[in-house]
Amino acid sequence: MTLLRRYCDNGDDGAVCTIVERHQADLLRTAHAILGEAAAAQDAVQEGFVRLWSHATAVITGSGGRLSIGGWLCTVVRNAALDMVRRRSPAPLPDQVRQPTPPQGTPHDEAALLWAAVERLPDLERVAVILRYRDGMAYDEIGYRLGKTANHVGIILHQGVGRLRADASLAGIAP
Amino acid sequence: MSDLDPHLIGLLRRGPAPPTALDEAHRQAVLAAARQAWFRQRARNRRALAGLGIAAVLAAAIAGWTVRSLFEGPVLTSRPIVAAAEHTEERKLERPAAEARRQEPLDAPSKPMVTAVPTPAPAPATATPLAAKAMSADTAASNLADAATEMAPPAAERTDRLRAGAPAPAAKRDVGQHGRLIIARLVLAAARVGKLESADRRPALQAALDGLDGLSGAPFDDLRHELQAALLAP
Repeated sequence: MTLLRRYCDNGDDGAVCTIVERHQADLLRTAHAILGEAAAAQDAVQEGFVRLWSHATAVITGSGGRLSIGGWLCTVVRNAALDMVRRRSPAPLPDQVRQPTPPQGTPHDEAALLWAAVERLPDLERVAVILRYRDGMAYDEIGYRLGKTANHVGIILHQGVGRLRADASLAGIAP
Repeated sequence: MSDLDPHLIGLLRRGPAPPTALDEAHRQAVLAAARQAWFRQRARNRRALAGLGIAAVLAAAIAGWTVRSLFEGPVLTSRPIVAAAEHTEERKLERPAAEARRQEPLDAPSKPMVTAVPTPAPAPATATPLAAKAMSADTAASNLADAATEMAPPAAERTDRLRAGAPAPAAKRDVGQHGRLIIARLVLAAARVGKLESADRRPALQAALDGLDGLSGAPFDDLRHELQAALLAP
């Protein structure tokens, strides 16, 4: 918050660079988990930072100064990424299981099959599975990024893993 | 129970890794956006500060005006009202006599009229009613003579009074130019039709003639000639 205050008071470029360096990796991981593409994740993170500069004063004074920049940015980037996902796919109901779509070309290895199955998961379940099993995050860390409680993350993960187990395309992979 | 199979977890970990930093294009865009937002915010702050200053000045002015109104009564601020007041003051300064006459009450005591009229002819020193009385429809001839005499008492009588220490007659009224003109005409008309007694005729005509002293213009000159002719007539 001190860095953001320095930016507000003096337009300090150093403070801006420090904020970006400090938060970009985490934000990119979250955005990538939601969007599945590096370029789209970069766009979502950029949008999050632009909103931060525009609302810097509100972030500093918001909630009596108890807001954290990381939490605020994470929420903004997550919402931006989810908006991009919704724009990308016209009718994505949140809890609707995506219909299995054969990936381009025939996946020759297990990893491709698995990722194709993960891509078919609903948004929240997909993000939770990726953050949990690819990035190794704890429930509360995932909840921090998704705006959910740890218990809720557990439920979401349980549903996501259940869908993956039930996915017929993974029948030959799972032991 | 909810954990995924370790084999699948291993496969997921070998999946596409997320980027760890913004690429250069996105980074430059973020820095440029930061500068633009800061300049916009500074302009907003300056506008807000200027607005606050203007509001403070206005509030101080209104407060001062209110205090002044409370202690000094209502303040004339309307431009037409102020202009009209100034115009009135200027007119007062330019025409003090006219303004004083305008403000004089109607029943104020009349001022003495012409005081130094060289008139050799004697006239009766009767202080009687005035021009209004003389101008009434049923004016008696003697009243006309009295009115004419009242306008300008004979110089000899006035001189005698001054010598004797007597105060100057105070009941003379300034009937104005028109009043003197009307009285002179009435006296002339009465003299022509013989309504004036022989004893009053000449003094009345002379007094009417004296009353026209100092007045110039066609009606006064004509009347003066007619009065002189009437005086010469038997």
